[in-house]
Amino acid sequence: MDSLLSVIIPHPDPLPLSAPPALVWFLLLLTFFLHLLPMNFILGGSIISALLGRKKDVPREELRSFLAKAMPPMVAAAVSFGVAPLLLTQVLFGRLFFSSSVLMAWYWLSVIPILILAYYGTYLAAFKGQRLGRARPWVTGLVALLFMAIAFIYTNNMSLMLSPERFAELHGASAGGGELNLADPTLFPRWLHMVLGAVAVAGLVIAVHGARRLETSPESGRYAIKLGSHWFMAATVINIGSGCWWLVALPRELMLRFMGGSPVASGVLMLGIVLGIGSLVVVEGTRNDKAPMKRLMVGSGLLALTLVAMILARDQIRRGALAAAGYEIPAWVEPRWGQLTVFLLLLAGAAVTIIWMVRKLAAGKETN
Amino acid sequence: MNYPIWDQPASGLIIAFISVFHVFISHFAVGGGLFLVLAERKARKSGDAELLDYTRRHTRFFMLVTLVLGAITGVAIWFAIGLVHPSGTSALINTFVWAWGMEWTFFLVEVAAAMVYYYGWDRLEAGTHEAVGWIYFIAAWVSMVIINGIISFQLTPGQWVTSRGFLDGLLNPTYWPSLVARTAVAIGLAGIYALLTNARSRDLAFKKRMARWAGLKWVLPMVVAIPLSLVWYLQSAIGAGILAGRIFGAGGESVGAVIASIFSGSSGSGYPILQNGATVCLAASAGAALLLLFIALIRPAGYGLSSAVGLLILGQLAFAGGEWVREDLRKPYVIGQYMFVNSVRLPAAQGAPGAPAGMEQYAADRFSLPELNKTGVLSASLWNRAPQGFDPLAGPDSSRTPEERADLEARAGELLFRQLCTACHTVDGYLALRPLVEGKSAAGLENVLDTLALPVDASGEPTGWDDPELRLKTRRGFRMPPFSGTAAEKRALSVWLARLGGDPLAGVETAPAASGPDGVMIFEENCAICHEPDSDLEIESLIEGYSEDQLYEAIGMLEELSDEMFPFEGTDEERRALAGHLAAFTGKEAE
Repeated sequence: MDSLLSVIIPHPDPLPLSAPPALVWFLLLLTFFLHLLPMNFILGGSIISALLGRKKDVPREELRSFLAKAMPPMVAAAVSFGVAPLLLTQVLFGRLFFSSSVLMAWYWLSVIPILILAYYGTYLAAFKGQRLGRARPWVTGLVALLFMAIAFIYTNNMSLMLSPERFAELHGASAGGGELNLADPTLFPRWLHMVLGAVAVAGLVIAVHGARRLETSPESGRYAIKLGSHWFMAATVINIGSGCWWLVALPRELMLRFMGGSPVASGVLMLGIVLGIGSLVVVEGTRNDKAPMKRLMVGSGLLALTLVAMILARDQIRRGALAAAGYEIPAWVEPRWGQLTVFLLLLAGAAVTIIWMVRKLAAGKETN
Repeated sequence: MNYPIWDQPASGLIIAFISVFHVFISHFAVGGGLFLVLAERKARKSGDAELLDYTRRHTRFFMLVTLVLGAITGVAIWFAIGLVHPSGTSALINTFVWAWGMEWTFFLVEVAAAMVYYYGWDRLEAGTHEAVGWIYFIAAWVSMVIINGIISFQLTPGQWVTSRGFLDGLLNPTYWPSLVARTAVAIGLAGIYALLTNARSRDLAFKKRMARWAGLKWVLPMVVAIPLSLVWYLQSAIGAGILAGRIFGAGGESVGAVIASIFSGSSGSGYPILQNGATVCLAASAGAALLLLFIALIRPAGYGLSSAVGLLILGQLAFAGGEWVREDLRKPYVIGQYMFVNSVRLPAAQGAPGAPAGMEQYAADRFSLPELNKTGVLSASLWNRAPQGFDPLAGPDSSRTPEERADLEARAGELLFRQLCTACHTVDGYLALRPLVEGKSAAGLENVLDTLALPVDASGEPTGWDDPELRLKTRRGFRMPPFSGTAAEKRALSVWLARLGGDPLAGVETAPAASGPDGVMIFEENCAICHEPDSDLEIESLIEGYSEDQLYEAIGMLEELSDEMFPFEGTDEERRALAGHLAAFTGKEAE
């Protein structure tokens, strides 16, 4: 009975890993980054869209239309790019991920109907737009809430899988898949940090969209730049606070890793903070800039690098937590280089094909 | 054992429901892509403006159905299998991670192409637009080409069992017939969905043309192609060692016998749920074919939405029935010859490559059948340990009273039920156990657990669990895995089952009878589970006219009398006592 009170880490399969863990790890982080871009846009964009108010002036309507039309392809991109990191998470951490998923099975499975509903909501807003009339704020508000709910469920699973010491207690409480990781003090700051980060990304995308519109539609362009920049800056500033909350909510040993205990963990966190503040300063400078595109692009670049640093910091939390729990990735590796090469070639082929199609579509738009 | 069990009644049904929904859309996503691009081509070539307009409208419907419901329910299957079968999912991911990676690259192209195709109607030149349509279809089909390998692998892993080779697993014995069948289904579904969107066409001349084209050129040929490919599929499955004849309750292991059994209805043996699936598939297919002819030949301009929806539902039922049969053919495995549905693994087959030097610890499998039989399920399980006072090796604490010992066994038995049985069974609902064990004794049930499945080779002779040509000899053809666990655990489970069956004192040891073996009890423990009165195998009619001596002889050769029977393993004295008891039925007791 004693062992039930201790850490439960399932045993590895009696099968070798198909690639060196470091390579899988790299691909995991790379594809997670690719997932994060559209995911942040739809999560943050839906929140901003829902909070645009009821006014129907031209700049607002144009922004609503931009967000609504961009949303369905971005949901498709977020889902498509989400598949790979989920797969690779299961390769490296499946034993913990499957366990935490089962403990919160109904919530985890509910991501599917919630996503379907939200996805159709984005199509409804894109296809019907103003014709939705009074229902439009309700649709956009509901979509935002649904995406936030998905983020909350994901945060629960991603944090619970790092806490195998909680598994036995939660399993004892209910084996029916009805548990959440609510007792984890990092849960809410982690979720808040993710949501605010998404709002910041979406804000900056809106600002860049505004800069692109400056010439053809100056009023709408300026409105979008101003609104997007405000959202970006407000979310980023608050996020410094939520990040600190997350940091202090971490178990002491883990927190200390980010405060000098581990040079890598401390380094990536520091880098992320510096880059984030850097992007804040650059974007703030666009306020009176008549040609803000250049600054916004620099700001976007810095923000993308901030995301990379924060992904690495998040990875350091995972590494630290799992090392403390005694989790090890099996050393039995039999790389399938042939399969891996075919995969990478196909991925390159897919990228070329998609870029070709999207460029054709964009070019067509210009001629029509 | 290795993972927590999601404590939901028959959680496998959740996968089934999501899958049945998903496959109906995902196959449409493949065939519908071909339909769109060929319809567009036909329209442009012949300058058919109505057809072009229809194709454009159909694209929006196609995108809303496939990109949202199709893609997301595909992810849902992945979520669900991870919750219901984490061990099996983990094994599939470890084996085929790069196959999934390759499939993902095509999925990316597929999703992007669908979007570009839809948004490109007004923006792209005709040639480019058609090219995007072709890119979509090829990506969607190749995506199916890869996933088909993993799904068919689960039924017939083929040479992978000994080689662990990637291509051996993907291009397994049922790969090609399955791919042909799925492609045919995809094309047929494209026609069915086209009939649905065409039902609202206002131009009646166009509606008639489209109904004939979609119905007669797309669906009808597949009505012929699908059964033929399924025959090929069954043939390949039987060739790979799937005992389809036994599972269907057919007279023999041939496609002809299986088909005859499907048409002739229940034979009293075989696996009823699979037989029902086959019947649903057959009846729905026949209904769909008739409705199709009605739409395409009799009312091509006048058919309404209700007929089209009816056809869609019948098509869904036929497809669902077929998928159900495939899933049930695989049972009791989740991955053929590798892992049972309750996550118990077989030992590595003879000849399979092991771990290299220094890595042996990773290849040692504490969840394999022989290991579990040695150490106990409740010892190996990380999540459900034995109740205090119950040792998986020695049984209940001998210092306790008989009642306490039996109670401990029942409690351990319930935990074992959760570990070993709930992947398929519930207590009172789906595949309910209670009616199956009603009135049964613990000793009789222990005997049943002993013979749920035995390892035999291709010729039916007993063999080891690591035989690469392993077949399962299961009790009455039921799709059951063998019992895993120690003798003490087996008894514990049978005590719990007997209590479930209505005996609250099951497991409480009583003093042995003063006289010799009791034929009634031996019958109860060894035979009654199948041959009780009022059952379809009632003993009285089976032994009519036999004398006690003849019965004694027959008990010694049960396996020769029927390959459904297991040898009697009692002593000669017990055999004599049983013959005496049976003779009382026939009235021919020895003097």
